[in-house]
Amino acid sequence: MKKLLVIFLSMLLIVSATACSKESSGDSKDKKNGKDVITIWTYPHYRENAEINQKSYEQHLQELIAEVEKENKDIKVEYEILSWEEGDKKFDIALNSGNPPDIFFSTMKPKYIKTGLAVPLDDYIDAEDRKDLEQFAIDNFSIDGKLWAISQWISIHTWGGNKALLEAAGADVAKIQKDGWTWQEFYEISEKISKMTTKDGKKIYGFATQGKNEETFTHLMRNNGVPKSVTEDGEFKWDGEEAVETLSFVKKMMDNGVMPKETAGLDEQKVIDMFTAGETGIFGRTGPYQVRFNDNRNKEIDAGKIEGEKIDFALLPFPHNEGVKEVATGGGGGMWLFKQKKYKGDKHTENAAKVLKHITGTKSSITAATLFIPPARKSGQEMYKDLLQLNTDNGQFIKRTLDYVVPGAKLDPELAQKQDQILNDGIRPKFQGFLAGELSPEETVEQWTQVAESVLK
Amino acid sequence: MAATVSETSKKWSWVNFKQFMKDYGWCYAFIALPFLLFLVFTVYPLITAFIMSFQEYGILESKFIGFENYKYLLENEIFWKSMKNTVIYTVGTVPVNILITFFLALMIFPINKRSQTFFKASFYLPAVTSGITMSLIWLWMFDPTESGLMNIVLGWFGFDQQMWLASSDSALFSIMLMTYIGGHGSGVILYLAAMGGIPKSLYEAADIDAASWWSKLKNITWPLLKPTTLYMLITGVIGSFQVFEATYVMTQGGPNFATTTIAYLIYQHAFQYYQFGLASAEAFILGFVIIIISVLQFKYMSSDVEY
Amino acid sequence: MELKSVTDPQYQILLDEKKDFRRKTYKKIGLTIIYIFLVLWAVFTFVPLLWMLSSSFKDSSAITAVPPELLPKKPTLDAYKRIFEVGGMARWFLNSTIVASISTIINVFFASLAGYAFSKLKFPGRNTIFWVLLSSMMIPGQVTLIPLYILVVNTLQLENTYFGLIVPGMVSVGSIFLMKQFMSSLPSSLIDAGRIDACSEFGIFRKIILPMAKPGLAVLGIFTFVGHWNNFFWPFLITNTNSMRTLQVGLTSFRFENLQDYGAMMAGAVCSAVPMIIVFLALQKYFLRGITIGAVKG
Repeated sequence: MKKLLVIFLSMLLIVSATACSKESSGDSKDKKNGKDVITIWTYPHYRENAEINQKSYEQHLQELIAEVEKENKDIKVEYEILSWEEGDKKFDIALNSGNPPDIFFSTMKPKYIKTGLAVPLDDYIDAEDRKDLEQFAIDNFSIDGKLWAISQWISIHTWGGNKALLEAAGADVAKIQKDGWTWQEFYEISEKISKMTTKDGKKIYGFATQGKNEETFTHLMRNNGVPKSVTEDGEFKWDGEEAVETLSFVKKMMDNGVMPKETAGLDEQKVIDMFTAGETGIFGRTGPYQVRFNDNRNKEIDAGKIEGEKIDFALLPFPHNEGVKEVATGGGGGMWLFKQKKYKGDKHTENAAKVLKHITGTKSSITAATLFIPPARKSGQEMYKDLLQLNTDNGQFIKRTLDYVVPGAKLDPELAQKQDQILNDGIRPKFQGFLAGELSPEETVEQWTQVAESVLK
Repeated sequence: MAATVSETSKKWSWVNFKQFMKDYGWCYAFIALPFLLFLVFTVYPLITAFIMSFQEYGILESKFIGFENYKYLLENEIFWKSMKNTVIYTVGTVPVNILITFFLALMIFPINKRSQTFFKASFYLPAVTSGITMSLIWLWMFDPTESGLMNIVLGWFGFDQQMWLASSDSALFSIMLMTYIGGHGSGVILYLAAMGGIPKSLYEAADIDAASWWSKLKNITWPLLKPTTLYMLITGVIGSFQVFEATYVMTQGGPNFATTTIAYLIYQHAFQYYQFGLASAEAFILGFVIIIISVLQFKYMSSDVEY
Repeated sequence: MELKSVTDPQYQILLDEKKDFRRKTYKKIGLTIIYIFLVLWAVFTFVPLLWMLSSSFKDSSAITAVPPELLPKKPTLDAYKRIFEVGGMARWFLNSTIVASISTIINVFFASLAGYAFSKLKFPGRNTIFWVLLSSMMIPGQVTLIPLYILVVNTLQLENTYFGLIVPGMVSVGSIFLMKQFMSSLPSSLIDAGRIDACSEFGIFRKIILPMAKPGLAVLGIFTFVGHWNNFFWPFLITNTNSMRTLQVGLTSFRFENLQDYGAMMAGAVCSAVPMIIVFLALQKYFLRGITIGAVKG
């Protein structure tokens, strides 16, 4: 009992002592040995893999930081690798407390701009730098004519296919990769696949996708002549014939057993598991990174480390409806620059921009190349072209896709928030209801339109 | 108000104060430190959040908008839908789980010490794994294809394969089912600790009167466990009104809002839209509802047990 | 039954014996049923845990195998190797132990003090103060995250320190409530006896209440320890270097983009569960003891 009291009282003393002493040394966090401290928060993109001589993302980042610190003696960089699950939320809280890190890795999020703490990068990059970036990478991060992040890569969204199954169904994979395919062609092939069975007699599906959100539907809509759900003028576009037609197409696939009827309950992991088990011929969405994963898996099977059938993997374009232009979808992550509510001065922002530029420079393209995603920098694509294997069939397909990838609508933060709300309050929940067989295509579109009207009015 | 103030000030004197401190000083000393820490780390953030609920929160600048947030919510369909889900979930889980817990404890109590330890450990162990891990495991068990564990089990009994979390009809029930099967460990331990505190003499006296098992349960065990039951009821209601993790990990509120709970809606407004004012207003409406329910529970359940 | 049997003493004895025998058989049958039921229920609740344990010994292809392997065909320690290789495990363990133990000790101490005051002492404002405390539980924590973060990180500057990890969780209203409820069922007569013996109030608390409340303290102790050990989000918000991370925060670093390492996740969950099982077994012997002993002595 006495011991308890002693522990407790000493604890309290120390707490109060630190609480008081900290106030007097307020700026100790921003300055260390007279150096300007720049903080970076990012994610664990990949790990070390000794077998294929691959360093971890953290090691690559450390190298870049060491370089920038060496060049700028007055800068000290501190970084934190967040976790994927909750990293966003940690940043959200830091940002809304007015104390975000100087540099943060994220995809395009208009809500960050709305807070007033994001710093546009136009003043910090020169024309040459701009020219080195793929046009899509700039478009993707531009709103109101300002650039909000320097893209590290362009993550192209594609579907993936099991070459052996596709060819057994009579498909010419190389041609599809080169010229694209229509819904009708896609349907015929996947229907043929859905009549096949695995070695253990299990049904093989023609196509499988996750049913947690409307992503796959978005891809199909874009290839049915409707590239945006909400336009820049605040018009809702998923309210008509095209939406009903696309939903009916999905329904037809589920009804005929081309797609699993349990799609509403499938998540991304489950779909990939189905694909590796040879239980679906085509799946979506995936991206170029799957080529690398598949390669590694095949190697491990060869080495006898894991059991399973090897798969010959092909990236596939989204099919487009007859007579409609093919549209590829992409996104990408980049480094954002933030200021704090308690502004640390122009010099600090300048230093942070300097660090940001270096860690997104040509050499940083190693990150994208390791993930087997095209780097946003043309110079980076050149530097790591061997790692990227751009001369293979899949590589050629990636290159072709880069030319016709179209970014989503560039909505101002206000409208983007409304679009988000339409998505969360209407599109996603009703789409789930549709997949579960509770709503017909017509009812779904009708209910979407209602929600959209009430939000946009 | 003014009358009471003048009355107390009339009474106020140093002697009175000294007597007051002599009578009650210790009582306040016992709660002083916990209360102080509570003020700093709970009340202060709560007051800030309460102010936020009347604002359109912005980091650089917040705007006072009066009762707009509250008004918006009370007119919002999704808010009411999630309120309904939360109430169904609470009514469907809390009483059922307290009963299950009570009977499990009742069954464990008479058996020998060693088996007791074994069962206590078995029931409690699922609680030591974090909620996220458990939700992931359940997600795997609720796999809607024929290879999902729950569907395999249904198959043994000749039932049809179910969609579980993927259908609006069964999603909320699936999440409730999860609580029926696991998570009674803490309650069982609480009940057992409280049962151990009931003097044996009471049962011996009842045995002399040849009281039946049922009448002993009704007249001794259950009434004397009331403080524990009240605790479980109140914390259970609070917990289930704030249920979040299962929805967050397993369904994200879907399909078609079938599992959107208030706590999940608060999360969405706060972190998806950065509408902290709206989220705070929601939280305070929820808090108000829970307080009313808790007061009622206290009124009907609370009786100071003395023996 | 024939009426005369009631009056026949010989028959009455026989009947009593029969009754006794019957009662014993009933008891036996009853106990067997109880055991069967409890075992079944335990198996039920154990399935998720067993799956976690068995998955932690699977290789990556077995984890996603369809149909699932309930027991790994080729058990391997690879997943455990992976999590211990990444490094920091020992440090995370230490941090979690420090944070969870200190938080538990302080929480149990505060909660028993306050719980005693709220249940057994009478003083002006008692109920009001208690309701203020209790009401705070009813507002979901999500909305106080931002103000709390501003307070701890921006104002007190406790980011990445043990204090930042521990201080906000030093008092829990739930714990106080639990102790209040628990202590309200302790006999008041003993406290009055203590007062007559002219013990100081703190003396009564220490010499009479605490020994009697041991089962409650043990229960609260394990609940708090498990709670703080499993706590993920606050430590995740507050720490930003590897050396300050707790186990739960550290374990999340096993997820990389587009790749979930379920094996490592499960192995991590097993590792983090082990200390809690030990704490549970160490404390559980107190769960049932105490009150009756104290009452006899008093």
